Amino acid sequence: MDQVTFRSDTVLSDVHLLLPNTRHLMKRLNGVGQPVFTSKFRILRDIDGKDSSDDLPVRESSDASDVPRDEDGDLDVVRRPRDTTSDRDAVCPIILSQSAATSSDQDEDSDEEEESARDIIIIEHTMATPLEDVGKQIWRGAFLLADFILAQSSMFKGATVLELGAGTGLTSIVMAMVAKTVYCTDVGEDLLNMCQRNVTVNKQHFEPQESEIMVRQLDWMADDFCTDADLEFSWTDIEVADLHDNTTFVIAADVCYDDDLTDALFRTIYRLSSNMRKPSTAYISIEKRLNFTLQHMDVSCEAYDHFRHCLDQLQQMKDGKMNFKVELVKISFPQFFQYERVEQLELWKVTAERLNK
Amino acid sequence: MGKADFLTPKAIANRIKAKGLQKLRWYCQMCQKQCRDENGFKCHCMSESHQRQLLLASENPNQFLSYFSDEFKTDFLELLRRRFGTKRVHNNIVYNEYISHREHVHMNATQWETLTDFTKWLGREGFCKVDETPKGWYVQYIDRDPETIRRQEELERKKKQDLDDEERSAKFIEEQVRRGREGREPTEEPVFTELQRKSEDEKVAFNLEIAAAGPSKPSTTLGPSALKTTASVKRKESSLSGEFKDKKKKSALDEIIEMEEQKKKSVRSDNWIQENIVVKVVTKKLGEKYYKKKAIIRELQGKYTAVVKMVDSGDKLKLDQSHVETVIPAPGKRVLILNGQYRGTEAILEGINEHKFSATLTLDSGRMKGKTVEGIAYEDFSKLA
Repeated sequence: MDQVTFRSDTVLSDVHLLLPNTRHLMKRLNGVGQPVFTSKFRILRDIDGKDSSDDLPVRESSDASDVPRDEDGDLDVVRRPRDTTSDRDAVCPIILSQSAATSSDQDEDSDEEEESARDIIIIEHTMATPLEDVGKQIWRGAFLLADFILAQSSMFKGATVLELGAGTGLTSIVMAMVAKTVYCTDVGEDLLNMCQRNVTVNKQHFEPQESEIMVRQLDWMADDFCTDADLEFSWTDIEVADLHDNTTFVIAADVCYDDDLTDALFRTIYRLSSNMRKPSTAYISIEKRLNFTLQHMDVSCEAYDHFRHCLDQLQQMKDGKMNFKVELVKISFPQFFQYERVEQLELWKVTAERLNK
Repeated sequence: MGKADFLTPKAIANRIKAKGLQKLRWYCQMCQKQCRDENGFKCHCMSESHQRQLLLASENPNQFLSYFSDEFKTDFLELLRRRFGTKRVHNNIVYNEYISHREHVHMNATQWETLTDFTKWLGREGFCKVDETPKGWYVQYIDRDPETIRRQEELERKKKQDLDDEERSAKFIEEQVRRGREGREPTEEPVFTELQRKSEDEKVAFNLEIAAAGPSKPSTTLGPSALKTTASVKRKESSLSGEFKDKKKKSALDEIIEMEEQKKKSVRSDNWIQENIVVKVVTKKLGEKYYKKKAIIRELQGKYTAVVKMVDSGDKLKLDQSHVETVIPAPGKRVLILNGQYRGTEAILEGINEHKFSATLTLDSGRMKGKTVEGIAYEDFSKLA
């Protein structure tokens, strides 16, 4: 299946759209008959500059005909060693746009997999899905949140984190490399099964640090945790108590695409923040998908507008119990995954404090 | 029978009457006939020959008008060019010289009714520079001959050579400065010599003591001591003058050196990225895919941040100045100087000096076009896109 198949009621993530020539491995069909694929994502570690300290011989001749050249015909000469004492706050390199020619990188990954499996995350996902199954794909918002987690790893160290709308579980796996306990929650039997498989496949990344990922079902429409013991991904009373006692961070990646779901999300955040013992901070990443709409006769993103409206409501809430502070996180942290960090990507921080009576 | 004889009284009388200019209004250019009064002009208009010419002209009136106009303009400009050159002159003076020729094209046959109209037309068409004054209209011929243009180019080349001479004199002065620095070294040696001789002065004093101790031989010792005293005085004077000269030389040299150092310091700056140059990505923070690959700087965001586009894949990245380095092209290619004295100047790469991590460039734009500069570091120039 090399060609991307589109139907009128399906959507496809840009992450998959930019890899049309990659040989995707279709592993199986899931419970509802959708083909499941596997992708590999490399974490870009900050390699030290020691590798570039090669002692190449400097030739005495100033004749340029002996100097080796590269493919463009430019001279490839030995440089003076650069002094790395930069006093300035350097801007982190960011990929603004990518072309479809990024398939060559994937081929190199398969060769280097055995050498540096430490930095490769393997994720099972589907391709084009209907709107109710978009959680089974990988979206740019998840990558943005994963970048933030790796950049601020000291903040999340040893923490208990709850992820809402985890989808394929990419962000939870990255968070488990840093935090202690991660509750990976979503809704849907086949989606949770896929998420559990991804957690199991990437166990090597967080198991040496004695971290733990627990895949659980959390329905935002319901008013309470699902504690039915017959279901596979139900909560136990001990887990619910641990969640309320120890959780300090709530994360959600690219989950605001429907107004009803957005309302349910904010109700859930409010309820969880009210029940948690410690002050909690929520990080929500969102991508504005701009379209021309007949209703506004303009280019706009209705889901994003509704999201901002809910944020404002949350900030102006004065019920005497909780105080919420909302701020936009500046996207200047380094990039750890290869994706297009477009300017429509945003990361929001919601800080919840309990008011003492 | 002798009707056309030029010595007959009638012929003489006719020539006397035709002498000098007649009225322009009674001249018929088509027939080239000058009438002397209104009655004569009226009779000429009704004559058979004039009617015949009129029939020819009425078939193509513009042809006759443009022919006479071109003739008038050509003769007028030729006179202006040869007689007055490119000097500014009153238009009436030129016209008077023009009409002194009896066979000239009379103005009433041209498209211009008055001399002022003609002068304005010359200015509009670009043949002359014209300007109006209370005294009347002045014209100045604009010379557009190829030979004149070539002469002007030669003048410009001469000016350039003069500038080159100035540069040569500047180099000569620099060489003199170097010689001045070299000349400083020998002045150190006589200081040591003088110091040694100063110790000899003590011996002279010692001799004086001996003279005091031995009164039995006063006449013998007085002579040599006086000579030595005179020599030491001369040496002191010479040493004093030497020190004075040294001070003068040092101050002048130091001032020049300080000025040059200040110039060099002020020219260099910390940021060097410019638009439209080729750079190489040297950071691995975005993976091996972009490491050691070339990119073109498309946009600058601040002094140290740039938006680059990869040459092979076309990806857009936002990078800092410390994440890229310059690209050195093959000899003969164009580069842009990014830092130092010639910042912003385009140049052509001539050769490189691997031992000193520098290159030799020939400037290709600006005031110093054609100059060859050496010692430009690899980090101070990059390939042009």
